[in-house]
Amino acid sequence: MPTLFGIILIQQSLALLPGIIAYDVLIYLVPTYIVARLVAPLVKKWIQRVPSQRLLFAYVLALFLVALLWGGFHEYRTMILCLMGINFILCISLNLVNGYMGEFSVGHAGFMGVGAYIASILTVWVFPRSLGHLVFPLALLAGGAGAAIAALLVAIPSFKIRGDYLAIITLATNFIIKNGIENIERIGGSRGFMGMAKLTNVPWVFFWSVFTLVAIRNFVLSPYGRGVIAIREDEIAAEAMTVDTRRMKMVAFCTSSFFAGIAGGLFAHLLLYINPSTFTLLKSTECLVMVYLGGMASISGSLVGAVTFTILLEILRPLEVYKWVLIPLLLLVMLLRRHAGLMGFREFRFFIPTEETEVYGPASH
Amino acid sequence: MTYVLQQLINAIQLGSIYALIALGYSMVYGVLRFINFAHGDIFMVGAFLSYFAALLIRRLAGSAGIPNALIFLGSMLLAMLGTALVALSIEKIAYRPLRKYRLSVVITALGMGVFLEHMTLVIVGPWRISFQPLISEKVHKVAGVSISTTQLVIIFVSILLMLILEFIVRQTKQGMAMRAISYDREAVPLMGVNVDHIVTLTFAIASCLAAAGGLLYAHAYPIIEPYMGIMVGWKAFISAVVGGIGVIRGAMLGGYILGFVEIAAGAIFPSRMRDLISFVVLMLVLLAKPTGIFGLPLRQKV
Repeated sequence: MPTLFGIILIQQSLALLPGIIAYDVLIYLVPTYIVARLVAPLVKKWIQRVPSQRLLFAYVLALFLVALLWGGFHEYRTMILCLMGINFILCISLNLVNGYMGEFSVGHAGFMGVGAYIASILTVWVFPRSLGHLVFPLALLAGGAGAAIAALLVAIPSFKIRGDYLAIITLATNFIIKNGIENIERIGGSRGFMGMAKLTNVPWVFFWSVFTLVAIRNFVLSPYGRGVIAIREDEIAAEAMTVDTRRMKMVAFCTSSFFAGIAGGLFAHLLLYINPSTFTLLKSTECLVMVYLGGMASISGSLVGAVTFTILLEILRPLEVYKWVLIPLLLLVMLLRRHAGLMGFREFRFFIPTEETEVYGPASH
Repeated sequence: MTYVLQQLINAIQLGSIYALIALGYSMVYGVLRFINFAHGDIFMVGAFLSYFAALLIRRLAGSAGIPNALIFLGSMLLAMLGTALVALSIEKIAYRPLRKYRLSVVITALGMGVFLEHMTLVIVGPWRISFQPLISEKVHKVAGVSISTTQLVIIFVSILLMLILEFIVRQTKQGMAMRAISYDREAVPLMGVNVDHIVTLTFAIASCLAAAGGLLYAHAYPIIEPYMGIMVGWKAFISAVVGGIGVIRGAMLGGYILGFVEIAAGAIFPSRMRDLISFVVLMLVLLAKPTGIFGLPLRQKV
């Protein structure tokens, strides 16, 4: 049984590659195709019966069922699916600052760490263990709120002036958070923190991914979000058009960190062990790579980037050390070809409101 | 009193290394307006190249014992040359085609940093190499304060390099072009200055300073490993910011300030809090003066 399309088997021996591909085609592609062809007329009829407002909901439900079925009860595939979702939340939230706002935040993992620690402390020490899944969203929201407060403390000084100073201050913040956690003996210091129950599963991750996607899409399309995009294009002109740039930047930055905190909470309850050295600049760099691989200022780009990057890490695992030699080179080649990432400044059609595409055309750069 | 003086010497030693690396960040930022995130790893490459250069020189000299000072000088020059070549090829491949797109180039810089680390890891293996000092160690006692030859050499060499840099930037035509670009990048090409040449020169000088910093750092803390550039690089970057990024004297001052803060934090508080305290202090400096000590606010053209 090939897990994740047989990647585990490829790691054992490359000679199995043709066999695995044949197996994938036989087991996944051919039956999918046949079933699709057979049910297509039925589905068409069914779609016409569903009112168009509910259609999106139906699609999401179908996607969720597919993910759940494919993940099955296989631990590895569930893990990869969960990581994909978490990476997607991280990627899209960082995209709000780096892509849509045009500022450069480098310390995203720091906020993720704050969220992870707050959420795990809540589920381990504060909430009774028997409640489990009932209070999990509360813990996640608390983690997100903690991360947002940490971000607010950073944002107040750093948005006083313009320029690259956000990069510097977020960088320092990432170090301060990591080193701060290391020095609090009560939560394990540099030994890490454990004892969480395994609460993160595919439904939760799916729910939070969709929630983040909807929230950030609506934020970006709202008048507030237009202000954020205006800041990226020309800050002085935005200010002249009565955009309160400082407040706008703070709102966008705190929103971004809030979702990073939620991703951190999910991450902690997936791996059941967190360590301050997980949330270093290497993790932040990973988030940045996902954002720029997928595409700046694009929700679909974040989706593509997070999924591609997670799968790429798994596929290249047998290369061991060479993996991290190859990934920067791939990134470089891709950036040289498409400087804004795979889907930079473009969206899949269904992420854009229909009125908008008709009146203004797709939101391109 | 002697304790304070002793710590002062340590602080100057650490600070001059930070200053050398911070200069690289500051110069590249001044000319290109872009944060070269791979600079810390270029420093690491410098340390490794000087290690191999020292081995090579010892091998070539064979039994004919040449003085240690010559080996030191030779390995420094070789390391500078090699590091400059590495940095220039990175600039040529990864930065120049993307120069128009400010954010993409930062990402390629981050990527190049990761690439350099792991390429070194592949080449030399995951072991920590102990760097054999090229200077015969001798401790001088001056008024109760002990200063080792290594410390003297580190301080002397770095100050000498900074003076040379100061001369290049203030007195030569190329230096004038560099300052001009950081002052007004649109007008400079109109004056007949080839911007590409100046950028190449800036990268070369920055990486030479980083290589020297790598050699000196390896003398002060004689263990080299592929990941050594990360922490030192970020710290040097932050000290460049505190001094006012883009300003050369600011980078020197920032490096020394970070050196002092770190040693003081290590002396007063438990040493595992050192990074925390030094970063908090730097944040406080930035709160009071967001553009750094010597930095001027960017002029906004409307």
